[in-house]
Amino acid sequence: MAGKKGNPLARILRAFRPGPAQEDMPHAEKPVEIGGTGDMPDAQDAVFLRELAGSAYDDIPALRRALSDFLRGQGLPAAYDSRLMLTMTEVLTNLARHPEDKPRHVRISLRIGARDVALDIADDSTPFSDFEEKRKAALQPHHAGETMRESGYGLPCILKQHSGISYVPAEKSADGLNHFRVSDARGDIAAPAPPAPPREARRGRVFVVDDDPVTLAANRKILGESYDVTAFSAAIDAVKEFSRNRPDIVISDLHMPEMDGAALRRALSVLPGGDVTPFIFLSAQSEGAQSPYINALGVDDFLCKPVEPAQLKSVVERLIRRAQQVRQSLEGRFHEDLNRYLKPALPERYGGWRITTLNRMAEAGGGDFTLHRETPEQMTVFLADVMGHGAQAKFFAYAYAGYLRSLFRREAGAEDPAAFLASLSDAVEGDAFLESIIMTCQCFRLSDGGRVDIASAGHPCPGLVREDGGGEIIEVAGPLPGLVAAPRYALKSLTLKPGESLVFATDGFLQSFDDKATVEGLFQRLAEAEAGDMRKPPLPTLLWNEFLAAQALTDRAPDDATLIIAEYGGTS
Amino acid sequence: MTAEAQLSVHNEDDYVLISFSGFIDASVVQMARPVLLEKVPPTCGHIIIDLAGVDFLDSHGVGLFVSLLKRAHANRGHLYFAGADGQPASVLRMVGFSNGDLVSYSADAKEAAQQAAAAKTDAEEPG
Repeated sequence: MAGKKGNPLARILRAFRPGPAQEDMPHAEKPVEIGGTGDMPDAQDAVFLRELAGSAYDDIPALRRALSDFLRGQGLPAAYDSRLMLTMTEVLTNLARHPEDKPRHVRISLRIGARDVALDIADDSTPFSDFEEKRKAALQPHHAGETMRESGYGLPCILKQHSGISYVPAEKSADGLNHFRVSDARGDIAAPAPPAPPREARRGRVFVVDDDPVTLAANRKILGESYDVTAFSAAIDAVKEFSRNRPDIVISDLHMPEMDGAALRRALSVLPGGDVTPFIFLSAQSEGAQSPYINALGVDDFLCKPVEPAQLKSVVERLIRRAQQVRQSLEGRFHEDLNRYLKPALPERYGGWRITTLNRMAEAGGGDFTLHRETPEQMTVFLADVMGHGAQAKFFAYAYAGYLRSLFRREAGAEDPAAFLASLSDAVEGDAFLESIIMTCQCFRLSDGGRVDIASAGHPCPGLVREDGGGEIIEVAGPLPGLVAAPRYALKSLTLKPGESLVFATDGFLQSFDDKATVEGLFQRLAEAEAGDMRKPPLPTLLWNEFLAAQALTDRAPDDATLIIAEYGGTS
Repeated sequence: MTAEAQLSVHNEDDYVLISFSGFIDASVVQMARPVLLEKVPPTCGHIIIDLAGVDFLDSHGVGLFVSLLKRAHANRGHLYFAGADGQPASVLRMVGFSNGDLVSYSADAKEAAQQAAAAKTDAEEPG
């Protein structure tokens, strides 16, 4: 059982829970010994143990088979079995390849307890000299398709898979071996996900327009196998339907009574989305294919009747797919540009404060962003979270950020968090565009001597973490900007002692853990996790690590997530 | 390559199909690299990696895929993961191989082949 002694996550939590002080907390679990035999298994625990001498650890596929055999029947979700096998593979591969002195002795110990699972891999090779640095680097976002790095994915994978990770070099362990250890509370080990209901990909939607009923019926039959086809014998009906039920492609005859194909093309071009919807002419008049007049209409293809069914299907599929690729590419660039602009960034130091800003920008989330303003006496930080998803929300965040940047710089009282939120709210109330956007925000001011002043507009409460690992929620609340006329925002003031930190987070960070979107909810979860981390990593690393681990377990669409930790180090 | 891990490479007009089976870890990658260097043309654009028969993938496999992605990207092509499921699919998602401009996921190699052929046709069309 992972003990609480030395576990920073558990210590952080204890202060958030009502109840006896740490010394009085009942210790149902045995404290964990570092090194030696590892944590002592209970009688009912299942244990997988391999003592490997020489280079036996190098036959990793065989060890994976042995571990797989052991895990079969243990009742853990298959996905978690895979995580353990990946972690063991990564650690052993690293041992086989990287240390100057290769190990001569490796011990693999997996213990499956009633409340947690712990995997310990001990070895006598050259220890990592810079594990913490590697861990920090691994916490940075890695997107294989973007960074094009061919290595360095091992540790990020392990970090994302487990809630507790520690590395104890030989000189600090009781048995003189290096220990790489991961652990997870049973509550964190997701139950097997129910099979996803079969999801039918949306069938493409095709408009076919032709005054010849035979051609219309034939094309409807040919394309109806793969697409939802709507047939129109009069072009004007296609124009009317276009806005209500926009198709992925339009196939039209050229010569038709009343509105002909060219008029249809022009009419659709002025409708929203009409100019970029693929359009094909299907005509018995083959000379139209070379007509400059037709080409000037902006059509994607010209097919001559009679057309082979296979050719028609091939052209339709190609054009629809191409249009989707172009749309995705444009949306991707749009998000990339906006994300670059919105990416929260704060100075790492201000006076006696050390500030860590961690952020994950979702491809299609709302928009988190920060603003800050420094004077010799104080630094004011504005943290915002624009609600919503998709390109529209991202654009709203972009527009809002631009507006706020201007307001924040010009506003004479911007150093006063409460006054600034009040003036922001007044400005929003009179602006129809800004009123349509839901945004929560928090404004806080850091000053010398550890003083902090905080005002909030519908934002999750921050948390205070004391040097001894205890902490509390800082209750501060206020209405969303623009929600009420002439609001008054309360200013919460406190003075931190050296070593204390304030944690500010957006919903995207907190909701990764559960729907209880508060800092308190996060810390409760951390305490229940019994993460078993033996050494105290820096608080930002600890929290972000938990976030990444939670992300790996959730199917929730990623949202923007921001975490700001302001640690007061004392007089600068 | 080994009794438990196999690799095959098929060069087609529109793409190269690389099929793995069994597991992909450092030991497999070590053997696969020279094979791929020899059999995958340096000018190939679209590459399909068929993972339908793969039940385990580690970070060295990811590194191999990135090298193939670079090859495809350098030739204005695209990388398709076909049939990725279970642990391999989870690892690919974890390292950030998302469906998008450079990488696509397909249900199987046949679907990926159709996509690659369509993409090549698009690229070759004037204008």
